[in-house]
Amino acid sequence: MPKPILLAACDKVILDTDGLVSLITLIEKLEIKIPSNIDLPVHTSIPMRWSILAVWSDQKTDEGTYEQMTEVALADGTIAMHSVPEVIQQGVPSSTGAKMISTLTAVPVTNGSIEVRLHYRKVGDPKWIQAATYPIEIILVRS
Amino acid sequence: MMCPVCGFKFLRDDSMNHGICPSCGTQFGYDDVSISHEALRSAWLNDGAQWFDTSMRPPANWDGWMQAMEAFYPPQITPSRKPSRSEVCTNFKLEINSSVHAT
Repeated sequence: MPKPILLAACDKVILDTDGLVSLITLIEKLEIKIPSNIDLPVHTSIPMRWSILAVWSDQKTDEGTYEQMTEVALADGTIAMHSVPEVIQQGVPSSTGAKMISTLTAVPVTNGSIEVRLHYRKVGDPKWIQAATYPIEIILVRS
Repeated sequence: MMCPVCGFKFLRDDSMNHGICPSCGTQFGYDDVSISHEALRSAWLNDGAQWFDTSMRPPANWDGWMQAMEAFYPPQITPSRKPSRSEVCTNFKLEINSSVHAT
């Protein structure tokens, strides 16, 4: 069974050719400034390129048996975005664990917290199991 | 060049001289004489951010709202709490091999 050892949202994830991973600017808080005379559609998002890194403990017997999925949930539980399922496997031989990088292209416009949720399941299993969460605070400024 | 009203990135370079943005329909030197670009943007967004020029297709997957938000109101990553630092000490003795320093 895969065990998450790291889940983080950041501006960029740099992956070098040896499989070494560097995180650039952990995202804890985002500020979105939209003039108050612009009507905000319900459940809208703003373009922004950011990344989620999930590192799973290295268990050779699990190689290729599980898949992961990340989703971004609003405070009321609404799922704003989610990644496609991806099989958890080591990309580079002899690395320390399975490192999975998801790239997102938008952030939901909301005032409050959002949560990045990491799920896994056995390939073919319909049910996802939540493995970890990562909170991000969003400050919506209407000036 | 980029449209200062809607953020459309492929405006002709001479558009500011009475050209019309195909995305938001602003005619520069006419529409923006007495109304600010910000006000024109708000009006266009509140009107649904529709593609203006019916004689040409918008770029693939074009979204007026996303275009304007990306150009003018990008989210900013801001600091939260300062991290605390600590030093982790070793419980093992640090022994220097004297032979290394003999030379």
